[in-house]
Amino acid sequence: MTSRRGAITWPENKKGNGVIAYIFRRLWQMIPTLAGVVLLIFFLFNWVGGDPALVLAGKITNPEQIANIRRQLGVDEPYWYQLWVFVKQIVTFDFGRSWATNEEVSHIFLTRLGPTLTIMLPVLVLETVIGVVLAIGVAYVNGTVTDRMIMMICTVAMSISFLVYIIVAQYLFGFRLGWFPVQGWSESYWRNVTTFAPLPIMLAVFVGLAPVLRLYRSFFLDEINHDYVRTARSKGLAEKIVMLKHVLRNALIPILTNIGIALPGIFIGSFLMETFFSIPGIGREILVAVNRSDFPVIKAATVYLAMITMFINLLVDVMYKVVDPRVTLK
Amino acid sequence: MPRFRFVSSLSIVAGLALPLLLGPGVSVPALAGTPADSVVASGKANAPDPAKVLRYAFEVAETSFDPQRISDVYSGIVNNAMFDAPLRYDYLARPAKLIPNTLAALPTVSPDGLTYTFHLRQGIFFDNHEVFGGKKRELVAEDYVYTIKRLFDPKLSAPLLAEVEGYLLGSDEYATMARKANKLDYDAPLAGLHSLDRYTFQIRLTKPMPNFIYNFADCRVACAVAREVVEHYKEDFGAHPVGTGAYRLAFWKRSSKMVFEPNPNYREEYFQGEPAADDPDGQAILKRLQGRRLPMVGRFEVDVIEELQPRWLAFLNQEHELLWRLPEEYATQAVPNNQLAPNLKKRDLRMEQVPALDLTFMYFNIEDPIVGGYTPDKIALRRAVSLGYKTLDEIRIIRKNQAIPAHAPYPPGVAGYDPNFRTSANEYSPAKAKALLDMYGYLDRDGDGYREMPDGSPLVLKFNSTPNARDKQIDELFTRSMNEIGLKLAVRKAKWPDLLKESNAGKLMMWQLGSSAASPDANDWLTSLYGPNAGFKGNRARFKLEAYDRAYEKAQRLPDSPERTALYQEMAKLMVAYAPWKINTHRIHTDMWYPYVIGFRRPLVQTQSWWRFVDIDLQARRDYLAGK
Repeated sequence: MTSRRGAITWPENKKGNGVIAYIFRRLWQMIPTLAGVVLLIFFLFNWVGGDPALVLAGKITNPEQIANIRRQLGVDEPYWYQLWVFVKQIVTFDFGRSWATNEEVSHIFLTRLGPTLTIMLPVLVLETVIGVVLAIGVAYVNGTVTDRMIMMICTVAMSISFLVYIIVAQYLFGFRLGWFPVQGWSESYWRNVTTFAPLPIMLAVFVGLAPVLRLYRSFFLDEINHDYVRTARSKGLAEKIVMLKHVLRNALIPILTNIGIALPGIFIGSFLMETFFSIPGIGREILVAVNRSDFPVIKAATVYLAMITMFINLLVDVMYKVVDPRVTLK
Repeated sequence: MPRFRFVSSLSIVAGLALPLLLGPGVSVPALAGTPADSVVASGKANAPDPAKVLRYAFEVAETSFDPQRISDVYSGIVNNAMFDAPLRYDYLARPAKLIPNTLAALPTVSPDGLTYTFHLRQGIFFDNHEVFGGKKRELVAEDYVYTIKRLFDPKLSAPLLAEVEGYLLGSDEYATMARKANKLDYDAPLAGLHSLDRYTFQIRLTKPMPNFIYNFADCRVACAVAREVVEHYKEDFGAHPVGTGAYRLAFWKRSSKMVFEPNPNYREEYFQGEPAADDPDGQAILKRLQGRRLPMVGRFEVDVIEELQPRWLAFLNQEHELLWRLPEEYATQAVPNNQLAPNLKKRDLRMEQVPALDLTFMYFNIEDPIVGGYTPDKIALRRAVSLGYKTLDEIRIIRKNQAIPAHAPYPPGVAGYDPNFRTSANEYSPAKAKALLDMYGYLDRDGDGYREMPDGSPLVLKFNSTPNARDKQIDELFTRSMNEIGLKLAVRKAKWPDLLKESNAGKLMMWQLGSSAASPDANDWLTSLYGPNAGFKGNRARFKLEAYDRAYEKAQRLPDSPERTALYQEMAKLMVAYAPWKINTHRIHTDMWYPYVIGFRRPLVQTQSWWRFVDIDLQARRDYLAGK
């Protein structure tokens, strides 16, 4: 049997070696993928991105100053050399310094990761747990008025822009009702968790729940209609056992796939939330970097995201085996 | 603090994030070094009350705390609070008045106007830092020499190098030497800059230029840094500011939050100012605060909030005491007809509107074959464009009345501005525009509704703008305005750096720009039409007119005087007559604050320091919060 993704087929009779060989093969395959990403970024920045020296030089300058800035940034070097420097940066994880602020790029990401995860990790966990629980319940009452009402609400909720939710929630809960501060972030971790994070978390979970609920419901409905469910019911198994033991377990593979797709996003954050709620996370930093044409930061973010995505895909593929022992190794 | 009744269960759930993993990344305390106990103790005797907290927001993130590395307004504001330039502008004087900051008196100028001598006040100290070895480090003349030399360091790519290069004696050679070696030998002499003794330094200029003195009030040029600290932190100096200013950095989350506390070594300084006799607000501030020891506020907290709504709501929610520059988008509800809205008046909020020292204008490339040139027909075309543009609509619809029409190529409040001086630069008269075009042969010959060139060739005005919402509105207004007088306009969208590059190369026909003052003098704008500055040095219109250049050169050699003002007006009239620019507006800055913030007044030059001149009235604050 192959997984829904169809990407993993491990040798059946050499379990341990098969997994390791598979992991090595996938790691090896990452190199050309990453090379493609690197070339694409390099091409875009050098031929589409404009001259960074002009951005940094300001309005009034002279050719000598612009030449000097190019020299300091290293963009006056031949393309092959700039590409070599970029590759070295990826290998050493040292992307140099921000062109706009002179801060080390690695420091930027390390210090922004905390706030981003403070928001995004609870969002992912809550969204998944609440989504799975609600979806299994809605799937169980499939075809009823409750099911149709919930689906209708989800459809309406999904058709409204996230920006509208943010603006309304900030106005209502932050300003009008005064339940939370309108925005902010502090030096204290616990103050952030207890004061500043709840509104963005609540909002992101609420907004993310509608599509997740619809998707997970469809996964459960797929499973509920399978023969093994009818067999289990005909054997007289309690509905609770049928749903929680058989259906849930089988639906976990596509759910895991969906989580795998969403997982890299928690490291990048939501730039809208971070910007509106003044959360000093990675998403906001990337937005600021784009506005400032701060290429070292943008390059690093793109490469990091590509690597995280590849590693999480690999992790999810390996997790299939853990979740569903029927995934065969061949 | 505002009323937060947060949902406790959510807080617990939010705690799912691992503190151990996240803790180090959440905050980056950046205290400026290790305080020497004895020094701190002596400083604390006069420390402001820490309960006096003033919070407000920047709309754009700071870039660096290295004064010579930055060019933006917001970094300038915070650097001005932490570092000291030799001169500053009187906090209350309008128009701006230069006064000593770290100097004992204004610099003395030699009779030929070429040599300036600066005498420092003694007993000004940097904030404590371990690199000073536990001793108080005094500000000395050599610090200013080192600071200004930093502008020439190629590694720094100082944005304001152009302000001194070529003007200080020997600076061209000094800059060339540094660029060639790709490093600066700080110990190499610079002929036009040296210290005479521990508290005296001197500059020598290549030509008399009274306006050069303004550079010594500009933090980005002349805020003193200590060489030991710069060499200690090297590339990271911009994250570890150590200055002589009233405040020091206590907490910093880059691009998000900055907290400042009083510098324990700050000199003994008392509130004083010279408001004009007909300036009741300034007089009231002086009366209230005169003689108070500075600084008065115990803690400044600055949040960086790029979005308009949270910035506005955070102020209304009393999460901030001050709203620095009301977003124009909220002007209709907060200051309808430029009056404080009744609901805000009821809350006893304070509001001040001041025209910014800036100018929005559109330039024509005088070397362009369609709109360029000095012949009457070309001038008529540019004048017609100017007469046909609805500046008042731009102010009313696009800028929500947060701007005033410009009558001269420099704004109110600068030296050389005369409120009684009026030009026809902002006259709106489509009838005159059409008549001018008809008179010079710009007629619609093919009946398509658009005029052609006098020789019958196509006439398309190519207007350039960046792809943002404001520019899109201006594009539409401009297109509509031109169509009404029969001119065809093609709008080209491009990114700012690309437009800048093309503008430098003289390839743009027309482009609208905004320009803010670095100093309170009309010269800041007039220099951008001086012939030798064509291209890279700011004269994007590439306007070259002998009469203008002559007047400019003469004015350059004069201090602020009626004679110089007359020359400025002569240049303004030439600008209107030849129309290399279509001047549009001066933007208005609207600030708001709660009644317990005492003494706030927006500085004329935006980057100037105002933090140490304001106070928080704690009793008034308690009363206000209690609803009394």
